[in-house]
Amino acid sequence: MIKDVLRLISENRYASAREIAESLHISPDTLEDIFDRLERLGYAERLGSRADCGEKSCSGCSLKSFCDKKSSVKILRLTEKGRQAVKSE
Amino acid sequence: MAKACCLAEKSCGRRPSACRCGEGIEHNENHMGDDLLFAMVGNPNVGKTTLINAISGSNLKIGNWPGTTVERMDAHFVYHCLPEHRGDSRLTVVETLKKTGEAAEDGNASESSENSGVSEPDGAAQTAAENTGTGGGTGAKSETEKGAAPACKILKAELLPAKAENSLKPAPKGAFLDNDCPLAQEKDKLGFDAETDVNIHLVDLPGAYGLSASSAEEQVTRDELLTRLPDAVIDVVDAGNLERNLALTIELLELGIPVIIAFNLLDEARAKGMRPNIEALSRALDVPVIPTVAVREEGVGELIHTAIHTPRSALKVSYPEKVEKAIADLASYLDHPAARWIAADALIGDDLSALTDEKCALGDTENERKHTPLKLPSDFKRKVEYYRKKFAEEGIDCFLEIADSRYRLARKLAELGQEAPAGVHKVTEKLDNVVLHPWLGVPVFLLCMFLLFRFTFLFSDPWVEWCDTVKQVFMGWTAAVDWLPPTVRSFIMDGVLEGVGTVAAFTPVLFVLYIGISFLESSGFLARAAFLIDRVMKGMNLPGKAFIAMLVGFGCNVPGIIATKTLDSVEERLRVSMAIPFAPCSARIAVFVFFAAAFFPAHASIVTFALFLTGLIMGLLTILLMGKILRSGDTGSIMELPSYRIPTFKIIWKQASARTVNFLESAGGVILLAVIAVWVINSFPAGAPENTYFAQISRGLVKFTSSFGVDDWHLAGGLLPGFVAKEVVVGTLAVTYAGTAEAIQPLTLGDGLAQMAVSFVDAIWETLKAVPGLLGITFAEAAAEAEETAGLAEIIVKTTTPAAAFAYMIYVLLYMPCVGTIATLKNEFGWKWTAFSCIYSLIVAWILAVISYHAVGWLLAL
Repeated sequence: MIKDVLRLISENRYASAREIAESLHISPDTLEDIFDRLERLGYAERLGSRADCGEKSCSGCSLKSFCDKKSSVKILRLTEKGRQAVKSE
Repeated sequence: MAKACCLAEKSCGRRPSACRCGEGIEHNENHMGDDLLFAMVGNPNVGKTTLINAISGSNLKIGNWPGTTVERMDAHFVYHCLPEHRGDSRLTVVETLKKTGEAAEDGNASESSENSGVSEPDGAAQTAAENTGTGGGTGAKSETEKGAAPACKILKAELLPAKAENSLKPAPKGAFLDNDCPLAQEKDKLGFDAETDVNIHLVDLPGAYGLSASSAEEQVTRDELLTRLPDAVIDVVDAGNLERNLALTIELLELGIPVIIAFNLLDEARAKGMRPNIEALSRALDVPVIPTVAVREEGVGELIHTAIHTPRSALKVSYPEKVEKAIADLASYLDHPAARWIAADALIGDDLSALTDEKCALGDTENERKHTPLKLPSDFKRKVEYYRKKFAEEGIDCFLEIADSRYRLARKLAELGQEAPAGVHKVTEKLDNVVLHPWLGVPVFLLCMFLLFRFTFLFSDPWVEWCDTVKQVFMGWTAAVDWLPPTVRSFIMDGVLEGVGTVAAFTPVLFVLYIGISFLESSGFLARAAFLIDRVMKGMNLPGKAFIAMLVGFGCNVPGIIATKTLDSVEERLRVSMAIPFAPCSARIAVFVFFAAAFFPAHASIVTFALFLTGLIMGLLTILLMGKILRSGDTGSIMELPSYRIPTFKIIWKQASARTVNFLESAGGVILLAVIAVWVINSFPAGAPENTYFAQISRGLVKFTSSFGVDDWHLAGGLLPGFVAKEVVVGTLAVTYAGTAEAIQPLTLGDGLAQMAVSFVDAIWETLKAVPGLLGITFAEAAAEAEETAGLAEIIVKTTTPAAAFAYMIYVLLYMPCVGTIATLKNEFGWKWTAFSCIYSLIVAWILAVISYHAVGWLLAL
């Protein structure tokens, strides 16, 4: 299942996590858990997320302290390790 | 199986010889007295804390795990295992240890409690058992307190009512005791069910989604389970989110420790329409599954009772053949119940050093089971390296294989444990069915944006007028100071007050706009825009996620360009960064609000919305066009959308105020400098306003702007300082038109204050009247007022046609990035692309201004 998630992200067929969850018949919460694991083990990286705020995308924004991070969209992107893992499958 | 005997033997506390399992004795050697150690584990937010509170009552001790800031909660208590309590939900909990001081003190207290814990709680339990009514708890407490030793004060001794009327389905009895367990078979002969006490130490481990040590919480959970080997793990599972919770359960089962599932939040799951199949889940997992509703303390007694007697599960995760063989081989080197999990974790490459560290026992206290560091033989480590290298060469990713197997099993188990998983939708999913609908989505998004502008106009207009009155009052007061030299008075009135005051009048507009944006943003709606546009853009082979940076650019172009760092390649970043200057930022919206209200008072929100759409479409077309120049492959990525929520008024107010203040702070200095500069070059040489330096330069520009209908040199001149910042345009117009305005009448202090007060009351009344206006209900009086214009707007309307005004707004929308954006573009991409952006936007702005001038002129003539 986790391999299917990696493959679907790499295929760029779906825009949102919800679509991937629906396509794999898994719950969105499980998918979020999978994303967390993929991120922690370096297969994917989250951009524009709470962890990045103030360091990457928001570094130039004077409003970052007022930013509603919970409501912002996050992007999960495959890293080189993630792309290699998909290729080797 | 054997472990079950040990637990049962410990629980009866009377017949050590009856235990036929040597393994249990080994595990128990570090026990403090007869304490059973239970660990409570679960995902975050599944009700663990509520459950441990329900079990332990006020016995709960709260602190931190040693060396971490992770909160630790645990409780010591005695469980009375009475024959008549078997299988129901009765529980008597008596405090046996309540010391939070020194370890020595703890030890003494422990001794006292152990001495008294056998007799005193018995009395409590007996009393409680005899009391079948609701007053049982109170009765038990007073009875016990009489004879209790000082260190054994009863804090909670209550008899929970039997749950016969409970709607929850009781867990299958057969699942509680392993029939193969010799002790279980002989329980009656052994007197197992006789009245007895069990000392229990219940530890609440930090919430975790897995056992890999990738966070402080997960590491504490993993280390505690593997180095203290609890007698049973109470796995708190959210009945409404089975699949995700079972991923952790599967890892727990691999530890070789008896697991009992507290099937919590069952009432919520049922309320959502879910139909969990507890029996099927229990059978599939081969563990007891006890339904609990922690907030009502339902199932709590049964949970503890079952935890005492639960065996190990026989469920085994099936890994791919090669990985399975490696795990079995590695596990054979380890003498540990969790050998299989440790082997799998080592293959994944997880850091196990914390488990082998002797320091892991440093936090031990006398009244708790000691930590035993893991012993990993050197052969084991060598074999791990061998397998990892081998699998890497074969292209087998151990993490993916192992995690995949576990998740697949979790999904299968979740399917078995749910009778009706389909058709269950959260609010977010229901709303998304409309908001993200392939056909409805974009119209819904556009409608919301239109309503945003309508809301902005309706609610800000009364306050713009009030700000204008305040400005007029200050000018009146300045006019009344007759001792000021005429040049100084002109500078204050026509320069500072007129320029800054006009822009300051935008404050209500921006504030109301930011309230609307904050609402859409905090509710999770705005994030959906990126998803909606993604569908459109994917059709054009464009990276949909690029729109997120554009969305940021709608607030201010500068952070929008910086936000392109989230994109995959420099080419993608360039494509989007060239488009962002077309996103109508707050500064430009302020200009549009002024012009739209002046020239199209009845349709101001439609005009502003049209400009917003123009900027959006131009941005998308630019990304498309740039894609022809800069080829970029879109690497794998996905968007995670936040859940919908109703934002609080406090959050919206805070965000809107902060953004407005920030705009005024950052724009205030620029505006002041710009209007002073314009006033200076517009005041010299002295004489007729048409002959000033500024007028001469502006008249030169009219030759260009007349192509889109703007023949007035004041308007053409406003574009010049607009290069610095777009919000300066209106301030400049105010300064240059100042000479043509009617003379300001001097005001006394009282008259001025009275004017401001009257205007303030009017503004409040007009704001209240705007509420029905948002729904399309307008009063005849309000409609008539909408046709009126005043001050600067009144002068401009006389000199320019609506078609030219619209073209002027289009030009302001698209021409040249402001200085801040230019500086950011230069820093990110260098001068070449910055120059390209400037020239490209000037050309696009002129073409569209000319087209829109003729198009609007034609439409108005119809």
